Amino acid sequence: MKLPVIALLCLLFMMVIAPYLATHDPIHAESGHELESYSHEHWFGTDRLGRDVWSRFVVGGQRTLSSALLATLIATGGGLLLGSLGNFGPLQSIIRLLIDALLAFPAILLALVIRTLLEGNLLTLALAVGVANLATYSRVTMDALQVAQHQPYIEGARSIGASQWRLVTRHIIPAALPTLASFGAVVFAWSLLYASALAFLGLGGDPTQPDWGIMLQQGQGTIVQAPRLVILPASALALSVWLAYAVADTYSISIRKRSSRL
Amino acid sequence: MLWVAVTLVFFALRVLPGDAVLTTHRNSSPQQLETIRTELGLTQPLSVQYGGYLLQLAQGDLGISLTSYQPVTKVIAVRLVPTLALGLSAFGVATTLGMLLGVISSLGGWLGRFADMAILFSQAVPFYITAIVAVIIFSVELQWLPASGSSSPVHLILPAATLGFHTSGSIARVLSANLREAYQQPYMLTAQAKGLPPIDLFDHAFRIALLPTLSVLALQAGFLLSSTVIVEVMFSRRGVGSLLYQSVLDRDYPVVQALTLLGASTYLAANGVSQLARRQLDPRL
Repeated sequence: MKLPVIALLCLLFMMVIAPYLATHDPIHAESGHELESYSHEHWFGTDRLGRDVWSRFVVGGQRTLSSALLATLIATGGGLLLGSLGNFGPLQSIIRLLIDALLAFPAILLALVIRTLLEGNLLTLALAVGVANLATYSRVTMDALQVAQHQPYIEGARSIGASQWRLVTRHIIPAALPTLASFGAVVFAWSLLYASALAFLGLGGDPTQPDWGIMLQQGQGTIVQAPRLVILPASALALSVWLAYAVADTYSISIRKRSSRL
Repeated sequence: MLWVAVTLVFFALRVLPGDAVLTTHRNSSPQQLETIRTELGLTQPLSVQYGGYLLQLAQGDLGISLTSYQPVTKVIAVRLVPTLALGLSAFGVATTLGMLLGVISSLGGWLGRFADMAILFSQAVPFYITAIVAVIIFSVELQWLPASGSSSPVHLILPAATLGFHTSGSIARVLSANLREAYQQPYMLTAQAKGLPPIDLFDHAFRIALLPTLSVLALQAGFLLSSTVIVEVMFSRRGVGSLLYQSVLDRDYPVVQALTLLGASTYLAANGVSQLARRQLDPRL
């Protein structure tokens, strides 16, 4: 296991145990304690409404990361299905047409439209972001499978009488896997960016619940007095996105190593 | 292709919940709502609406806005110029900066590492964060540039610069990776052995590395296009992006349809142009 992969897993683990890391109720506003600085009681101070920043940060991270993760699952799951159907099934040409038509819509635009039309909670946010990235992932799946399909060793396996099932499960899928995993990590990075952007625009669902995007939006007004309100979620978001890109890079390096060995 | 896109949007908008007439006429009685719906042709069966829509579209008629009752073409035309200005200047910034960062990064050394950091920053930090910080520095503290509005070219600087910077990262990354690869090709060794000066060597490598970068440029055009929505809402600019945001909130179908159509065709056009440019650069294709 490479370092970025471990780091990303740690981050996701922290997401799971987030409620235990929080020191206060993230939505409880303590009047008289607005915009307090760092203290033993409130590690990162309090926000405009007297809410504990650290608790909002960890619980908000849970929401942001889990919606991005869910969106990634939707995009990769649907993309794998559509991409394989576009490559193997009887409906190939129709599926390809559909993918290309979906690709013509810029992703953020698509996410925005879907998100505003569906009344909001975390699930619809993830759905909107997931569907927005679905076409791109389908396209990548299709290309990866196609490249894998036309390798000489596939022809070799076929000529010694391997069944279609064996070809697909033992040769084509393993060959396409690094590309798919690498691009899956990229989709996770995009999902984080889109999900937090939508939350930032006020389309993230319940505005009282913390979320890194919402924290950024709410901290925007007091950035001069309390820059930590923006810096904390912003750097966490940037770190997560960077980790996801780094994971994608480790996979693509392993692809390059393998192809240079051939 | 466009037809499939148009059809998708048409049906998606009607299947999803939400009602334009209800959003804009909250205080009307059910009878009044019914009359308005009939006038706008919303009571006809979906197939009839769809047929009529395609027929109008073929004639260049995009319908009438459900909220302002003006022709959609007119509503969009008014908003088009600020968005075009934003998109093109951001694209200019992104291309220039992206090429520059890409070349510097491929050179290596401490300067290259600095460029790598900038690229990383541009890709990993959501652009609205940079926008907030830039507004704080240049508008609130220094008061050099206006924070919102779209009345003069000065209003363009902050949004175009932030958007352009965050688009430049992918361009730089691809260019840098391809430049490095190009320098390791055998013909570069030949060129070096012939004693060509570094600038000619660079010219050789740059041409080859530019090819994949062009397809990224087209992809980034799509990213720019959709990012204008967020940028325009943030900087409260009047433009196509903020129009889309408002129309989606109001369930103004004809406007949303026309705008998604516009977005998709711009994207396809950008892809087409990059294909043509690739053929120009590489006669083998």
